[in-house]
Amino acid sequence: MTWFDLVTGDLLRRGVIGHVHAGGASLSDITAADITRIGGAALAIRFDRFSDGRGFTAARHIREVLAYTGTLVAQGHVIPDQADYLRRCGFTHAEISLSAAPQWRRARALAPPAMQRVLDSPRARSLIPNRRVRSPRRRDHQPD
Amino acid sequence: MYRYDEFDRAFVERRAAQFRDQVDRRLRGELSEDEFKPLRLQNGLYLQLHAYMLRIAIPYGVLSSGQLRGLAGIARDFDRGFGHFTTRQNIQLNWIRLVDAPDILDRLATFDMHAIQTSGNCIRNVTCDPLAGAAHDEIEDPRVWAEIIRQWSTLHPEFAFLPRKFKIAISAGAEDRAATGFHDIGLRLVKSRGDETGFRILVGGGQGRTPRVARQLAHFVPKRHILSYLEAVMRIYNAAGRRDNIYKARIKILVDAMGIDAFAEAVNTEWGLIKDGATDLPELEYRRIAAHFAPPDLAEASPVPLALALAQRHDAGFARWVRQNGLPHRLPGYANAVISLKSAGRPPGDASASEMEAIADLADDHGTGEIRVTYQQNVIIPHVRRDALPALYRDARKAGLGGGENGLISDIIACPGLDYCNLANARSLPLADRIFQRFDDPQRRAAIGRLQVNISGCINACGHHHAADIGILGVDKKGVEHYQITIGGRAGEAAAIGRIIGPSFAEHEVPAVIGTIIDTYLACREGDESFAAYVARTGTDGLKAAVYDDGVARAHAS
Amino acid sequence: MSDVMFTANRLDNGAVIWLTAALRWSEAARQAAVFSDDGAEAARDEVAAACHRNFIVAAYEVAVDGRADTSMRERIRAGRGPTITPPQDNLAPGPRPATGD
Repeated sequence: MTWFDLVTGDLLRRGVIGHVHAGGASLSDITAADITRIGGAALAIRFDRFSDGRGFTAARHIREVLAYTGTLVAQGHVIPDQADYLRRCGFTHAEISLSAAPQWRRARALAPPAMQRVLDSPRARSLIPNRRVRSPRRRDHQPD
Repeated sequence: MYRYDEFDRAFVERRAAQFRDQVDRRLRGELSEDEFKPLRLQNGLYLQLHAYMLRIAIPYGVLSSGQLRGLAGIARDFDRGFGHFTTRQNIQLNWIRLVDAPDILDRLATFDMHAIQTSGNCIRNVTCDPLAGAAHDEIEDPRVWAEIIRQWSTLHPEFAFLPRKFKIAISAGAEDRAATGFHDIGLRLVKSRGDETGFRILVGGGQGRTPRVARQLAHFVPKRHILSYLEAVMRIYNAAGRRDNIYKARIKILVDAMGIDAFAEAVNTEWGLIKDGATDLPELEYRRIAAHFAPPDLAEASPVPLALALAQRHDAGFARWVRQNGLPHRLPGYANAVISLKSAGRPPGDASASEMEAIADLADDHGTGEIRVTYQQNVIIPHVRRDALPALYRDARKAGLGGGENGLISDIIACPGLDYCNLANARSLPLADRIFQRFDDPQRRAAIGRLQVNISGCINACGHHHAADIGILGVDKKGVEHYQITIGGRAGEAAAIGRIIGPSFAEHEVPAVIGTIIDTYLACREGDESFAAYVARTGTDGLKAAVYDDGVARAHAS
Repeated sequence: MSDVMFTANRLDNGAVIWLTAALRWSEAARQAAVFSDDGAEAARDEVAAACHRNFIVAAYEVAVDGRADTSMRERIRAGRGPTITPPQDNLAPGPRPATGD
């Protein structure tokens, strides 16, 4: 298994995971304290089934509410066609098998442009410049 | 109507290219059917009884004449020359080959159309009052918001894998013509006491096995916050909706389980966290979209033109047609003309490719080139001068489309049923035709007045039988098609779910049963009260007795 | 064990197909074979193989009594179209043939 960088398409050796949030767990199961505790290690969210979309909500919650700014990995059953959804919800990487890498790169390249704003983080911005006028007000705890 | 800019065009083209790659990978075996199925569904491709069915999106039911001609061409070149307009304002083609689907999506993109999110566990086509922008009773044009919500919900990365499908409808009129009470989220444009415009939000309505009338979630959300509010609702649903049982996975079940107050509180808490963020539209973007829906320039026209009065006097058929199908317009000199897709031998809502082209011509010749698809499976030509109604009727008749009467007992809503659908227990289309034929006397139809008959081929209720004056539900009784009758449903502002009146009937008995119900109503009504008013006043006991107690003999009588 | 027939849709064009006695797939319902016992096991193997080679989707077994008429659903499916007449287009058909002919 390897880590696929959802922004650049590069492959990375797997890093240290400090905490795994189970896809089906409640959002209150992960707290700001958990995040502080893991230090520089990565956070992972596990998808039990690719069609169980709770991991996307968990990722946004971790980014927007808990203001997590570190590495966020999608683990478990995720398919290449979800690459852009994962990236835009705040994941930085997907854990995939090496042989799947070409499909992930291709899926990433084929993703249509973003129709809506999701996160304000530079790492989550659409690859095509967002045509919407940038809103002048930003929430205080937006990650950079 | 909304016109695509380069961004929108690039979007649908890229989406079509993405799907082409997905189809190629599936055919090569790089994607399993399990992995491919949600991707295929979210491009509208549904494996049905005979073949793949493609459900093409008609956003909030609005089409240009050029788009309708484009759809005719696709029906002709890739299918069997006809399509079916649905209760969600989309169009379905029934014999699509998977290998052709990428070419079809490419061709759809050339006239700004697609099949995105018309199926699958995602936010579906946002439906709207088909008279939006032309209605006599609306606060403002709800299509602006339908388009805004459409864009916000299209390939939304967080909500592509919901527990189940999600349906939103918007209404802005005093009369709710979008059935908002039967949607997962119903939005009604309202004015606050301070004359601010916003939305009253309803949640948890639906048909299916557990029909529900939607409950009020919020009495007023300012317009500018609608997207962040919806996002909060979707987030609660995505996180907490059931995923263990597809029959318990809709938001209505979650609202039942939590209770409406707890649900509202959860939404409000989440909304509080996101409402000042990046989700809501900047003013500039709102104005860009709203500009597409500026009212058309309509010349002054007489509300009582002589030509119309003469035609009504000389042609009883035209007089009947205009009384039922010439709907009021916001300008007194204009009307919104219903072109009914209900006629003898026609599956409700079906139109051939040549008929679609004829409808496009009617819109160009007598309207403003725009067509609306209705929840009742008809089409409307909006903005027709009243003095042009005789000519429109004449041209519609030439094309075989001048017959049906909007809103009467013959205006049947029917799902495709077992003739097309994998899920059905019984056929709906032959029965729809038999009932239609039974009420083929125009005077009798006029005497009966407004009466909605809906037929569903199975408990999934795609024919919306729960929301009908007379609902018919197909069931399987030891391998033989049977039908259960419900009475007293309603789709508008005072939404209600029909009540089952007794055991089911074999198909050949049903037309006579309907006949008995009608006879009893006509005999017992007070003055000219509608069927709905009669049922509201007297309940269903009288009808039950007429249908069952006089024996099943009464039902067998004719 | 009851007698069964095997049916599915072709992946590429969605056409309804039936497993024949020779363990091949046919669009003609009359060629659908009735399998029992060991024959049914061999048929199941072919169904799995046909899925695996991406030829079929949505395969299932239909229990039959001899060749007696099966359910309304299977009869409509074998008829390859609805029991009503859809609207007819006024022009000649386009260059691409519809599926399932």
